[in-house]
Amino acid sequence: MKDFMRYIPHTQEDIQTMLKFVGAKKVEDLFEVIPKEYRLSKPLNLPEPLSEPDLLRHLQELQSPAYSSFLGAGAYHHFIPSVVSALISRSEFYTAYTPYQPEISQGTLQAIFEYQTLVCQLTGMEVSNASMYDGASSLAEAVLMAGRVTKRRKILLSEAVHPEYRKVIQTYIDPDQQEIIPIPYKKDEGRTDERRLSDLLDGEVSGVVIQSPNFFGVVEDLHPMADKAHEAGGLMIVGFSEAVAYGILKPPGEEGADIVAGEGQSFGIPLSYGGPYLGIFATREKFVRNMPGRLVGETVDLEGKRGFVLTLATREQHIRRERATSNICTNEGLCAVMATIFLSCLGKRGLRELALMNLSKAEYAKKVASQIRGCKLVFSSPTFNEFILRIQGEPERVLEGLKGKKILGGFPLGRFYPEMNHHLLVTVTEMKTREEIDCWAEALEKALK
Amino acid sequence: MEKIKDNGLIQDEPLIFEQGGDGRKGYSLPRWDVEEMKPEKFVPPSLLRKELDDFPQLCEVDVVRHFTRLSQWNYGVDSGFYPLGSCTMKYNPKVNEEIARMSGFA
Repeated sequence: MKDFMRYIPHTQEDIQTMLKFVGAKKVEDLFEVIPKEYRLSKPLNLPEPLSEPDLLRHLQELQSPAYSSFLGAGAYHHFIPSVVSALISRSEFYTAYTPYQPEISQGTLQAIFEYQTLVCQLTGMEVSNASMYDGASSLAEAVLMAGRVTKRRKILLSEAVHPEYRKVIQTYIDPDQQEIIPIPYKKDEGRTDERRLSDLLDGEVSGVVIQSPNFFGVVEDLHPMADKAHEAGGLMIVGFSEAVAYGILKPPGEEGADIVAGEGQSFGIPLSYGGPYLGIFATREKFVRNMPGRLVGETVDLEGKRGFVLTLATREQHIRRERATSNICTNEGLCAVMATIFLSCLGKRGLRELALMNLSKAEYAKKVASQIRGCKLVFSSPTFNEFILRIQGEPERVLEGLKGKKILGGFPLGRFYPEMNHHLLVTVTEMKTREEIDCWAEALEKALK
Repeated sequence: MEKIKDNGLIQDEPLIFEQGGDGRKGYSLPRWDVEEMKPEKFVPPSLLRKELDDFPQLCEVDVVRHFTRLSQWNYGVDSGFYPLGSCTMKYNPKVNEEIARMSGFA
């Protein structure tokens, strides 16, 4: 009973007092109800606990070394203002993820109300929920919602949507035996093939799912596809994995989107080996009763002062399971607060400038890369901060060469797109300096010789 | 055992949209070391948005005070025992927070 006494405040004296009160002689007596043969008779085979300073030293040594990373593909390295970490370290924010008792969580409720409002402003939609787990599950929930709204069972899903998001959608609709029909992308442009989309649309399609910027970093032209979806009586679902793009791209709400579902990790949430991230979900007012997730609404208290509560809870929690929208009954509360703080710091001008810097740095990298022998920019379509390079060389070998110089040069696409087995997805955010981009290009050139 | 008195504060805190003002900024981006590109040069104007109209404009101290006041309106596990719900955070060693934030892990 050594070091963890710091976290459990009872002293030996306290324990003796409590034992005496309940009429037991020793702590083991409290476990008498467990048969002796199942009780642990010796200590677990674990090393000695480390003291706090030793623990810190040990973990400092375990840390990954720093690499210059050009990876993206759904998770983005952006600057996180110190304010975010300082504020969300307050236990008042990180204790209760869900404000069940509005009397003791008005702070969280208001912060989430502000989050929902920012999401609507960003996406051009009318109502946002309090967040979902991540972009993949958010998009999957959007597909389920389209099925509920239209009562149809086929979904058209662009092949330029993030491959892992597509897998998650498959997982979500499998038990329901709905059908996914893939929409191919145009091999020369890297955008969804809207002519094939037209061919595939019929009266049984619940919706069309397009990601913009898509997995190849290409900006999709959403409006014409939304029109086609609507003509067929289906919903337009727009996904995204790089939220910063909407600092300059037109909000999907103005392009005919009925549901917007994507990833908010770029807004002040660290990479952390893949999570926790932030699922963004927004829709039109008329669909709100079919929307999954928590919803914070504005109300007044007994004194007529403004207050906030969870609202429309019978969509998904206080209702029979089969009648619920999603049963998710949760949200990424702390991550939503992080995003709110991040967007509050950046504000109207900052998000725009951040987006411009991402675009500019990526365009610089594209220019430099196009001058490398053995390297070719594949799609001429507009991109944001990610783009595809075709290289003359085995991607694995080339990337190993760069890794030796502490550079993670890009994401090899062959894993998800066998027809693109000589292609790299390269991501350049505001965190890449000009020198880093030049070093990357130089290393790439050497590796391709 | 003495009773923990925690009446907390009742805040009357405006929304972020009701605070700040035009021109206030609370961010700091990396230096512009590449040429600043005009998006119209690369993306068709029909795919670009106008301003982020209703987004707030706050300076750092506005943001810190706003969210600090909001947090004081909550009850947290550092203030006292919080037994509600199986999925609420229980007290965790502060060293865990420090380690999780180390740059080699985060």
